[in-house]
Amino acid sequence: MINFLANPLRFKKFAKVAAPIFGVLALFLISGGLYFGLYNSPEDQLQGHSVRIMYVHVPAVWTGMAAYAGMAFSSLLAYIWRHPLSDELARTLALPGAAFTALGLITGALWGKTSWGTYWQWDGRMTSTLILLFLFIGYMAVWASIDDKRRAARIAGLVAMVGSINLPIIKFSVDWWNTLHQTSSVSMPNAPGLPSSILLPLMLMAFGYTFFLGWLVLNKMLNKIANAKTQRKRSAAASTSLEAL
Amino acid sequence: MHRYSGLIIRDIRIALRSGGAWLMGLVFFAVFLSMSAIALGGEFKTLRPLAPALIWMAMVFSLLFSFEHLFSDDAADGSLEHIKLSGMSMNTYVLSKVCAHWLLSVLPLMIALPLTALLFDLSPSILLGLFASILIASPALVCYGAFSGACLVGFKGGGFLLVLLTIPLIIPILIFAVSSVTSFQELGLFALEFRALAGISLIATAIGIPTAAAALNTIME
Repeated sequence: MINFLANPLRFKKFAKVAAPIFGVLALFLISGGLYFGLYNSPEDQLQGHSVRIMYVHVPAVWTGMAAYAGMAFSSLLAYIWRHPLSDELARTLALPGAAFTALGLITGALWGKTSWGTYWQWDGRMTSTLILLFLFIGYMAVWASIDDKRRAARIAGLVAMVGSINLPIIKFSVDWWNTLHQTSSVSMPNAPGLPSSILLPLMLMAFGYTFFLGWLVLNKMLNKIANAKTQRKRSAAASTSLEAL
Repeated sequence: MHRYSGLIIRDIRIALRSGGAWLMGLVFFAVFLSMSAIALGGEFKTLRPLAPALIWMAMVFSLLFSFEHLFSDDAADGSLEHIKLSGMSMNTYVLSKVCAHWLLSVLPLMIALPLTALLFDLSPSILLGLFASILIASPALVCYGAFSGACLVGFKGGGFLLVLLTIPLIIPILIFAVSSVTSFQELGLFALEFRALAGISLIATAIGIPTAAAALNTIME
């Protein structure tokens, strides 16, 4: 699969088919999730309607973490096999990932204000999610500030891989430091802690966000491949005109 | 082993000949602490509980500014290429640089630590807790710093970017280190925080040194 997609041409073919599918799926899943989440789900006994922030908040942080994991994994692929496309993939994942993480932090702050009475608290999960945002920013800063593109790719890849030790810290922070943020109620495989009326919109939103991320990234990648191609054409044209002189 | 110790001795010799530049971290440490004592009003009653956090902040920042030149001097004058050509593994080189850097920048801070007890009127047990936390956590600080320093070799104005790259890795250390000083009072070295710090130091050494070596290798590709 990885080797198949490492070829830009085959990747382009795949992305041209997959990107619209991802886009349509994201549209349907997010609108379905919004309908079920905002209108067709029970309000919380204690929190009232503010619990509906969850349908935006939880999937956003999940998708941000998934984007980071994808970034670190494709950096690893680029580091071992030197597929230039996986460097580009990692780079493309950074900005949406940072945006999703920021969205998660902002909605978390709003939800925290209504249910805990504070926008921010220095507890384990919030702090480590903030660190995740810093990692995304640092990764993008490396790309932006190192001129030599190959070196920037290698260094940024190393930064992404070293930073990935933060992901398990985010995942387990609520179990390790039993502070303000509640523990996960979804991930237990045998004991579904949530009724399906809440779980359904949450899952719809989570998959919708993921497909949205996929749509964004594939489109950006197609864009980059096309750009690289025109640049190559242009430089080839320039060199032939030089030869003509 | 011989080459490894030779590199450490070489680094220390270069630092001693530099006319005291290696002591700038210590000066920064002292200035940072006295500035914060002045800014906080100078009352021992308010300063005493804040002292461990302030001392840790001063140490982290004085170290952060030192990593920018950890490898860049060797890269600039070509000795990095020579070392690479001599067949020495980059991991050994990074390890020796990290050890030399610890001796040159962390050790002076630890020697100066008892003086800060006078600045903040600290009790001996808090001072001991600080010693223990710095001793256990400093390998992690130096290894992560070496990684960021190696990433930004040959990059002008990398200071701020280095801080941005290192801070996410250092925040967990800071959290555990500051709280370890208080729990040292009750549990001594067996407090949970010291175990966490020791674990972070081991992980940081295992991750930081090979990745720093890999980053240095990218310069010479």
